[in-house]
Amino acid sequence: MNKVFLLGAAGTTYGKSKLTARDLSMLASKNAIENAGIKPQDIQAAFVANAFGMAEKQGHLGPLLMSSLGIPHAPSSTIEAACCSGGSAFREAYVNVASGFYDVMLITGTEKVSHLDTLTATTYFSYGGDYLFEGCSGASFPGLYAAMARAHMHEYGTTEEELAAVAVKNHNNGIFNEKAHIQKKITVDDVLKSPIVADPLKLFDACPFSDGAAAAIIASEEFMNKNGLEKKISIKGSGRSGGSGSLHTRKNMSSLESTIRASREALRQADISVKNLDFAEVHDCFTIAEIIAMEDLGIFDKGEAAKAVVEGRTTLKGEIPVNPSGGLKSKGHPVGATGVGQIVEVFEQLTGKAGKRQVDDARIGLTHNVGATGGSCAVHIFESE
Amino acid sequence: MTDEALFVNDIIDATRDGIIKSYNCIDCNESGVSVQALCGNCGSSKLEIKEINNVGKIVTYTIQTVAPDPFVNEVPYAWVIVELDKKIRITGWIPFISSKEELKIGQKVKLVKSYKPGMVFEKISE
Repeated sequence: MNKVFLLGAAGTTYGKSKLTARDLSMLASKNAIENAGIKPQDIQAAFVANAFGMAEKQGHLGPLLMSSLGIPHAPSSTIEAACCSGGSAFREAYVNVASGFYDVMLITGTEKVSHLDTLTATTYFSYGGDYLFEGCSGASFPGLYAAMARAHMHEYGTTEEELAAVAVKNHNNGIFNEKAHIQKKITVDDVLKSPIVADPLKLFDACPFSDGAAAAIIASEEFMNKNGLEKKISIKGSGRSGGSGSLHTRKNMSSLESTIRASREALRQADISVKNLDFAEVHDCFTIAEIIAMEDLGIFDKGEAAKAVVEGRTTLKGEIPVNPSGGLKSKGHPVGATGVGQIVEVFEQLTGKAGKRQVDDARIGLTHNVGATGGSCAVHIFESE
Repeated sequence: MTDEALFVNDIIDATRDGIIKSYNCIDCNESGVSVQALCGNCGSSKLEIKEINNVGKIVTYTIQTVAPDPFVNEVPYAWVIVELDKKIRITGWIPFISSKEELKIGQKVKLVKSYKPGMVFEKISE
């Protein structure tokens, strides 16, 4: 496999936007092309990550985006893996470039949901699981993570206060992210007193429905050399795994097998251990998801992550900053964009452009993106050269 | 009979009548309530479809206070994962449950025939 570099990455502001998913994808892509220092014509192919395009009466986004960037001939396809669409699209592009088939690819994730009322959005999100057994019997998407939270609490004694500490920490980081959806400091008490969505999860345990887009450009070493481009960040590992798409068919409901497998694959390729990570952007669609993610990634032992958060070990100045961007919780969760947006954060951290949320001496970063309750997972590891 | 498969509508039609259908693999003895053409454990095509006991115990649950369509008028209710015989699991919901204290992990429940959507369970005594 050939060495692949992350050349540029950029995201729009996350939140409620008047723009369409198409507009947002165009903006993010334009900015990624600019900060990659390439011409649009250098892009040979693209993957677009998008989950709810039909909610805007627009499928087949790729060719529209390519035309808007002045490269209508460049082939593109949409990749959908629920909330892991972005990470999956990045992985497929990586495979294309690492194998030598293409030299330069664009990955753009985009989503627009704020024009939907809460019921419609809640219903659409419930389609990402095993609808026959979950949405069809009344489980909302938060309901599935609530069932996992209860299983985790039962098994390890995790408390609602500990879950709340995840939200507080991510909001503390999000304050320093001018593109975050919710830039607001909150307390454990605010979380505990927020309305219950699906017991034991409350409104402030959940990420918001966001609009937004994020884009990344990756390139082969040959292309970098030929064009005299500076090699700032290399992709050291790319892990992907599937997992049971249904919650009831898995033996362990307080762990995601797909996270374990994808992360071990990425770490093995990068030839590092989690101890070498300077920070991680993990998939915190709900507070419990960040706890489970840290344990499955191996950052903390099973049943220990919640305590670590309360002890401040994952803050910006902690031993392993987790979600310096604010995570899905504060930065926002524009489904198709989320996995690519995590890579935008890595790009900014590893190029020293993260401002007040800059992790000291950041050299190696990991992204962890999950689809639904773990049916899909993508993990990538990046290192500054 | 082997080389049977479990389709979405087989499961829906049965559960609407309070009946649970599961698959059992002749080769590795794996079984489950899921849409299956090949065994979920070993990939064998030697599957047989069986009706199993509709009584089990709750392994985890949530109380839904915000619901997706078409459950909006049902809130609050519980969504549950239930363990049946041979550790086979299924999901469902229990109407009119409004607080977590009304259920517990280990609670005995039974799938019932219902005009309501989805797989409806009710609490039963030990």
